[in-house]
Amino acid sequence: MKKIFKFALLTFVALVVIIQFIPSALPENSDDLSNDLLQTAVVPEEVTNILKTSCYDCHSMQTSYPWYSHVAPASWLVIKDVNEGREELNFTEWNSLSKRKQLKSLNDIAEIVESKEMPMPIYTVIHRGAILDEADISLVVNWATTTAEEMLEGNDDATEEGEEEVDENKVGTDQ
Amino acid sequence: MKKPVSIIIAALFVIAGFVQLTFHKTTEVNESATVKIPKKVQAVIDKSCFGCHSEGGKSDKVKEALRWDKLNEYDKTKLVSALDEIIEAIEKKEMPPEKYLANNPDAKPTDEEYKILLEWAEKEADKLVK
Repeated sequence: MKKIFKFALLTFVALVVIIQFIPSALPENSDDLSNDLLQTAVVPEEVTNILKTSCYDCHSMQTSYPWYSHVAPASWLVIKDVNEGREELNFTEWNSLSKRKQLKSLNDIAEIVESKEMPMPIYTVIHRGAILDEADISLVVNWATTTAEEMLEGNDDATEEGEEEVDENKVGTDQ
Repeated sequence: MKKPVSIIIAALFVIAGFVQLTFHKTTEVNESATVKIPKKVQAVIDKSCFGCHSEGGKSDKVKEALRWDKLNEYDKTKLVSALDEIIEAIEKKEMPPEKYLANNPDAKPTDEEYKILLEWAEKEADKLVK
């Protein structure tokens, strides 16, 4: 019995060592914050802090990588989650996004934070400080909702001049 | 097993009729955040989207993501967001999913139909977001 245990342990250690040699690289960070949300928009301080603590590790180019993120197999998970997070929403690119994309992201932020889908449990299980309480959630949801509304309100004034053209387009469409 | 094409087409027209009625009812709610769906656009939606993304769809998750029959009940932000996702799904040809098309080959949009839907969604999105 002892022999089997020893063999299993050795195999496990060997495996952990071997997988360190499988090529993989953590997604790169960037110091270019010229389009970053927090640099280009006026975000309330409380919300800024929440975004930095609970979102920015995966949704920006400013990921802070803990030691274990350099060790397989944890690194594989980190690589996957950071890549997917940045693809879905990257706050560092915020100002380069179209208004439509920004509105879509604000809509998603409100929905996903409200339903507590984010931050992900696998992240908060280690990063306890990233857990959002009810007050944090309503701060983020309110910020996302009002920011979107303000962006859309800005339009209505600007579009009045184009009203005629819009009406023309409507003719012969639905009716 | 294969039903005559004419019956399917007739059924589509009937469905399209109901859909038009539904949209007529809802367009009045909030003038600032509605879209109008021309008939030729609606035909594409009926053919390729409505099976899953309307009341009769089987998956709640899919319906959560988008309900064509409730588009005009969304608030403005959500409407823009929905249009954005529609545009992205068309651009990447993610929708209709391959798996669905395997069982429903008739639902596959032609390039022209993709274009009709895409141009409509872009135009509506631009109107809302200027």
